[in-house]
This record gives sequence, structure tokens and C-alpha cells, in this order.
Amino acid sequence: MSVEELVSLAKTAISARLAERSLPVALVGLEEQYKKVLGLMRRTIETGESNSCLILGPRGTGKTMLVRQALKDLERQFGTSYQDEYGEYEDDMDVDDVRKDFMVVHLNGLVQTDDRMALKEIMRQLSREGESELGNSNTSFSDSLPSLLTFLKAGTKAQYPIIFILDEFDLFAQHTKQSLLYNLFDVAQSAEWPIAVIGLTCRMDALELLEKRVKSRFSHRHYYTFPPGDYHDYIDICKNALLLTPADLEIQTDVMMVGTDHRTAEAFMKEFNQRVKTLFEDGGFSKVVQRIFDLMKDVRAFYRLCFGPVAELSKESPYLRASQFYESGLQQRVDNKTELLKGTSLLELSLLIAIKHLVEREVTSFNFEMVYDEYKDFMDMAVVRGTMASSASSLGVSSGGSIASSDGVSLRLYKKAVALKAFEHLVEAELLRPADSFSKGPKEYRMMRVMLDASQISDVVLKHRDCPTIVARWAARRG
Amino acid sequence: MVTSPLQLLHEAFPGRAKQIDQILGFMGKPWAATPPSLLINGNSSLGKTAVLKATLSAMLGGGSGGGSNSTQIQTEQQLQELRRRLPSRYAFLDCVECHTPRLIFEHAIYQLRNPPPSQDKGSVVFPSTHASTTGMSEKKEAATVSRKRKRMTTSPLDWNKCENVNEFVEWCRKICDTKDELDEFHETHGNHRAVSGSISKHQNETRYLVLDRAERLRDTAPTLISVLMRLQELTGRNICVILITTIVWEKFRSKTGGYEPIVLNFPQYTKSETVAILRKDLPAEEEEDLDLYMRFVDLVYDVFQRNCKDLNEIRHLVALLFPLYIKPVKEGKIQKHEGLKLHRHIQAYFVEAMDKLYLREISSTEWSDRTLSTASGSMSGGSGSTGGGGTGGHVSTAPGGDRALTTALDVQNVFDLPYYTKFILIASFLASYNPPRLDMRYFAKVSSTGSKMTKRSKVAAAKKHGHDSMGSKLRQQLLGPKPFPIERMLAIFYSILDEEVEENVNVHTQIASLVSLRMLQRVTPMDKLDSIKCKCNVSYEMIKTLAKSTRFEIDKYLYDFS
Repeated sequence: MSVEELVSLAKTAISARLAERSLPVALVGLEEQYKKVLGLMRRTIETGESNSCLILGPRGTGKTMLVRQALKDLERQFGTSYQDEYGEYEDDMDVDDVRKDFMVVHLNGLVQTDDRMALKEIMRQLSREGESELGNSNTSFSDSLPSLLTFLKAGTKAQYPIIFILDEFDLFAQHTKQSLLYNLFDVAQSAEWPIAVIGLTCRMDALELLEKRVKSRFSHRHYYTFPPGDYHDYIDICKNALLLTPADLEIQTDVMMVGTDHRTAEAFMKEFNQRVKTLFEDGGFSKVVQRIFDLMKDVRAFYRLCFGPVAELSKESPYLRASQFYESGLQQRVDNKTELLKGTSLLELSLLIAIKHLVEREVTSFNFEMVYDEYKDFMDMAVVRGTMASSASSLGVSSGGSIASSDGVSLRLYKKAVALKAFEHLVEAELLRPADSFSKGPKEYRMMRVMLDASQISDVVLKHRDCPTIVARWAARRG
Repeated sequence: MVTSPLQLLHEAFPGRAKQIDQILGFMGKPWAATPPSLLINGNSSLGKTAVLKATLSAMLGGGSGGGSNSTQIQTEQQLQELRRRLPSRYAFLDCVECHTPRLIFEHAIYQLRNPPPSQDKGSVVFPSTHASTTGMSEKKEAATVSRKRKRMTTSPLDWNKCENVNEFVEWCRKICDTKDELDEFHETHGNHRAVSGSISKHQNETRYLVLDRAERLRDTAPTLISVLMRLQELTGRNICVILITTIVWEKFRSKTGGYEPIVLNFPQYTKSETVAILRKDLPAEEEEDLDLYMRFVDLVYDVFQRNCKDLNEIRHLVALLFPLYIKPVKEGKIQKHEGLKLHRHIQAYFVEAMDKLYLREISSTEWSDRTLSTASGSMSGGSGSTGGGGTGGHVSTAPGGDRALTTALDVQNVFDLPYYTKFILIASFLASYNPPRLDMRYFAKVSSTGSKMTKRSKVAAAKKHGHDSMGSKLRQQLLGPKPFPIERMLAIFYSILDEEVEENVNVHTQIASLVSLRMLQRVTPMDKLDSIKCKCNVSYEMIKTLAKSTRFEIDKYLYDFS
């Protein structure tokens, strides 16, 4: 196996982890929750006990991962061929030949936006025949769920426990009458059919969204996931994503693989992991990670940071280097608003400064005419000053009212139409927003609000590549 | 010597090599796992769409070529052939065209199930791709052409219905799961070991869904962005969503949050990059003027870059002005090397173009026709007279007398109304902008001289009211027209009209016609017939020209105007 192949394998494995396509190597800080969720599912499968629970936690704290991990382990335990890839399994659910001890139905509030769609999806996932027979029936939801269940009962020998995973649970609660939730919880409570309903949501108040009749049928079990509280936990999670495992490089203990290939692969893995470890000891790198941790504790933020450097791995530089992360860290952190503003023209910048002056005078909503007037006042003043300077040095005002200011840059007062175009560009970039929802009448008079604060505007003026001093001074002036 | 597609891309897009490499890095091998979503942002005309389109089509559209040895070339060619024939690996959608979720879904499905749009082998042309932002019709034409071509080669699959996210996710799975010859090709060729690896066992090639002008997505459906951001998770397949937009990601975030994309920023072009891009615009037949052209480009950049960051606008300017620049050279009046003379010659046009920056009041062909015909004569150079103190204080008058670019003001001059209608319009303008409490002062027909304010006292009054704590920024002139009752306007109308109005002038008909011309705007609902209120919808400049044509001194009657 050449280095190139090894690198490509490593790349694939790591980016799959970063993209959350494959599960992390180890759970960090979620062991407790994991045990509980796994226990709940297992009881449903083993003893046919119906149950329901909610997993609550901010985004990116591992709710979905937790459930996926649990399902994977259950599949392994109950000896079915669960595929490594998320989302694969439902297509392989063949009710008649492969014996399965349980079934999983995955629903996502973003995808199944109403109950009928959700029901169709349930039936599709449970059985293919079910779809053809029941999928097109236009009966109401509460009619078809029991019929679906009886159908399943009639079609197979035993009652299969079903695990319902409801991702984005809060969105299901917004469906009319919450009939899906009501029925699922009702089935779970009345112990007709062994099912486990597991809702995942990032809304801490998800329980409050439930109607009274739905809420009373819910078991009120909830588990919380939190972002890693400890910096070391955070580092561990990050490190796990980057460290290679033997499986990643297809190092097998098989007889087939033993040989030079095996040894080079192992050596590569060792070296790679060693580099990753030194990476985490690097001062600059830790600073980047620490900053992310301090800001949001979101693992995904670190993952996002890693995509670039991992993508850059090649035969020439097969290992991760700290310097890659500095750049990538800067790129993800940069304030894109100021970045966009750097590309504004001088006229747009002048208008922004005029707006800043207006806002400082507590005119919070303004229209184009006011801004233009302010801009004109400044330009008039600049012209007066320019002519005074030029009378001394006999330079100054050149053709068409442009002023050669002291640093050799000509300013000019633009006509209203040109300025309006610039103003509209600012609106398009959503730096300005209409103050009222809609108003008739000429657009020059439409009231606007600015979406930047005064300090941001002065910041842009400072950072702007070629802003004449006279404009910069105007921006710095107060009131 | 075969140049690799990468080199071609780098050459086609000066100053974008880093971005192209980054995108390619994220894409990786055709079957490699990609980030779930990318967001490409940057100001307009920085080549976001063009770069991405060219990169995708070069890599996945059958345009790729190259390889170091002959066997590689052979397999490459085979690959290209397959890519051209088989369903496309990417869908490129414009959110302006696809303005509902359904359209997005159906177009995406259609594009992913049919071969990629045809293109010349391996050639990435900068201008045409860049100009596509402006040429909507051109694009449509290209689309129909490509569709026609497809019909000839392979019969396209039917248009599939897809109404909701659920079905779309289903389709994505189906599309990603169809294994075609290309995937088999990867497997049969030894260099694709990863395919047989444990992780990517059933991995087919990555599909890309590109959404241009993604800021429009926010208007379509509230959860659509969250869905697209995690499409990879939802489908469980190798699919990557790329958004292209001019605004920052913060504006996309939904209330509940969601998966965040990787942000890729396209920075502004530097001078040398801009010049390199403009270099490509020189038509081939004028290649001998290259030196002159480059000097001119340099000049244009220095003059305009500060105020015009839009590359397309600069290109437009160069295209417009270059014929003028080289005209005296072609006519033999000025020698090529006389840079200063040429500079002076073009300066006047620069001033004019600066005034019209971004406006594009007339089409470029019209412009060049006119300038070339009219400006043939007195081109003695020299700067124009200093501004003649118009409304803006400084109206530049370019030399040469008659102007190539007609202004909007001219259009207003041409517009004419009946005599009394003009007065109705003037009266409504006055009613809209003057405070009612001052009507007595301005319009009362009491013993003439006494009550009318003198100019001086008016200015004093303006000072007293306008320049208080707020500054003068809350003047009615700046705030826009206020609604007024029709009766008040009529009173002003009869007051400013010196002679008696003839019986047969039906004032109300005139008002109605002004409303239908949108010069007056009715504020009260149409079914309410009593106490109608209106707003004057006409600019000050237009009223001034109207007043001039009727010899009415409007400035005497306006309160706090400048």
C-alpha cells in the first residue's frame, strides 16, 4: 500500500467522522445518558415494554449520535445486519426473510412536515407491501395507525418491537392536533404494541408544546445532553475525530493482510497519530481550540475548522500541521460582514458614514434623501475647503466638481441617481433594512434602518483599503 | 503536452487559484465524503458562480483531461466519455428561477438524472460565464440548446413530480443509490482502493447540489435551509449542498438554529488580478494593440476602482471607452506612444462616465454608436468648465457640446401635460411638502403685498424651525410627500392660478387622470368617495421643470427647501 493510498484512506475516514457520517470512536461525557437510552430500548426489545422519552440538549451535543450509537449496539447485540452508514438500514428491512428482533422508524420534523406525510413514511419504512396497500388510502390518521398495526400483526408471526425516533421533535408538536404524537404515545401507554418513542429536540421547553392529552400520555422521562463542560473532554472529542484507528486504514489481523502492506500501514497510523498528539500540544493550535471552546463549546465548530486541513492532506504532506489550522481558524472566524464591507466603493462608504452621523443624532430611521443630504453637506464643506486650499496652491478643483484632496485623491459629489444606486446596493447586501414592512410611494423616501452599529462603520473606514484622509476624518468626527 | 484541467482552471480565473484549490480539496476524490454543506460568499462579480460552475463541469461534467502517462490518459478518456453520457453528478440551480421549494426539488432531480449540460471539451471561458449574471435570455437560450442536444443524443427522462421535502429526500436516496457504469468503473480500476474499503462500501460518487443566489431561499420556505444544510444526514448519502450568496451567513440562521455550513469567502480582486481578467477581454482581432490596451486598462482601473468595485462595471466601462481611446490613433491624429495626449483626450469621457456610473441608462451598443458618430469632431481635449451650480451644486459638463448619454432629466423635459393639469400637479406638490399651518401666509389672497413673506423672513422662519436639535434632517423635503386632502390642494390650485378657471376645465377629471398616471397617489381606499386624500408622487426636479414651463416661481412658495 503506497503512502498515497494510505493518505486517501485516512482522509476518507476522518472526513466521514467530521461530516458525522460515521460515528465517533468513543462517547465522551455522555456515558450516563447512553446507558439509560440503551436500557430503555433494550427493555422494549427484550421484554416488550412500551416506553417513551425525550432527549433534550443544545445543537451539536450528540443527541442523534447517542441514538445512532445505541441502535448500532442493539443491532450488533441482536445479531442483525445493521449497516455502518446512517440511513441505510430501512431499505434493507425485508420483513419476510430476515428475522429481526425489532424495527426502527426514523422520522425527522424537518422532512415529514405533516402527519399524513409522517404516516406514509412510517409505512414505507416498516414494509414495502404496506405502502402499496395502505399508503394510498385517504383515511384519517387516527384510523390508519391502528390499521397499520393490525396489518403488521396479521402479516407476521410475532409482534415486532418498533422503535420510533423522532428527530426535531418540537416540529412534530406543531402539527395540527398533534395527532401523530397522540397516537404514538397512546399506543405506548396502553401497551398494545411494544414500541419505544424517542424524541430528540434542542428546545428545552419542548414538553410545554404538547397538548394536555398528549402530555398526559407521555412518560415524562427526559434525558439531557450538554456540551462538554470540561475543556479536557472537549479536547478528547476533538482528538478522537482526528486520530486514526486500525479500521480506518483497513488494517486487519487477517492472514491475508499480513505483509509489508500491513506494516507500512501500521507505521503510517502510528506516525499520524503521533503528529495529531503533538498538534494538540502546540501552543497556537490550543489557542485556536480554546477560543472555540470559550465561545460556544460546540464540537461542530471544531469539525468545521478541520475540514480544510484534512482536505489538504496529500502525498507530499501526509500529516496534519498546526500552521494549517491557524489559517483555517482565521478563515472561519473572520467577520464576514467587515469582509464584505471592505469591498464597498467609496461612495457607498460615504453613505454609510452619513448614516452613522444621522444615527448619532438619534435619527434611527432614515431615508435616502436624508442620507444624501448629509452626504451633500459634507461634500459642500469639502469643496469649500478644497477651493480654499487650491487658491493657495493653484491646484485643487479640477473638472466637473471633483476635488483633489490633500492626499492626491479626487472626491466628487455624485448625482442623486448614482448615489441611489449605491444606496440600493447597501440594501441588497442587507446592511440596511426597511423600517416598516411595506410602504407605497417613491423609494427615495422609504424609511430604513441600519444593521450595523457606529463602531462597525468606523472600523470599516479604518480597514478600507483606500479611504482618503478627509473622508476618514469626517467619519471620526462626532455629532 | 496535455495541460491538466486544474491548470486550465487556474488560467481561466486569475486570482482565484486558492479558492479553486480549496473547493477541489473539499470535493476530494469523486467518491470521498464531503462536508455536508458549503457556503460561498463574497460581493457580487467576484467570480463565485463562474468559478464553481467551471470547477464542477471540469471535474464532473466530462471536461476533465490530463494524466501523466499514456494508460492514465486512456482511462481518463474513458472516464470523460462516461461522464458525458451518464447522469450528471451535480445540479446547478438559480434560486431566482427556482423560487418555490417544488421547483428547486424538481429541477434538481431532473438535472441529476440527466447527463450534464454540454460544453466544449475542457475549455473554460471566462467572459461568457461571467456575463451570465446579466444575460438572462442568453442563459435561457443556452438551456434550450442544451436540452435540444440532449434530446438528440439520449432521450431524457421524464420530468418527475416532487412536491415536498419528504419526497425529495426519497429521490435523493434513489438517485444516489443508482449504481451506474461510472461507479463500476471506479471499482474495476485498481487505483480506487477506497471503494472496497470498509467505510465506503456502498458509496457511489458524491452528488452536488449548487444553489446560486441562495439569499432567495429564505423567502421560499422557513425550514428549507435547515433541510438543505443537513441533507447529507437526512438522506444518509454522499450529497453535498453548496450555497452561493452575496450576504453573510448570519442572515440565514433560523430561529432554532441548525447545521452550519463551512464558509468560503471570495475576497476582492487586487489590481493585478483585475488587470489580468480584463486582459482576457481584448478581442483577438485587436491583439496588436495589446500595449495600448493594457495602458488603457491600467488607466481605467486607477480612475474608477475607488468608486467602482464591481468588476463587471469596470469591464463594461473598458468595453465602452476603449474604442474611443484608440480612435484618434486609428485615424492617425495621435501616435501610439503619445500617452499624455491620449490621456487628455479620454479624460473628458471619463468624467462623463463617472457621472453615469452604474446607471446604464442606455445600452452599450447604443452608446458606442452615438459617441462614435457625434464625437468625431471637436476633440481638442482640455477639461470642461467647472460645474454650473445645478441642484447637485456641481454638474459636470463634458466638452464637445452635444452629449452622448441622454439623462433622465431629458426624458422629464419631453414629458408634457395640459396647462391646467400642470398647475394641479404643482399645487399638489405644494400641498404635499408645505405644512398646512403656513398656507395662510403663502396663499391667502389678502391685500397682496402685506401678508406674503419676503424671501428673507422666510429664510429666518426656516432657520427657526429647521435647525433645532435634530439638525435639518427632518425637513419635509427629505421626509417625502405627505398626504393632503383634495380640498386643500384645490384651494392652493385656485390661489396660485392668477386668472379665473374656465368653466369647461373639469378639474376632477384631471385629478383622476393624474392618479392613473401615478403622479398623484391616492391614499384613501378607492371605495371611499368623500374626503379623498392624495400624495404627490413627483420629484422636485420634475416639478421645477414643470414650473419653469408655466413660468411659475415655485421656489417662492416652498417652505424650507434647498
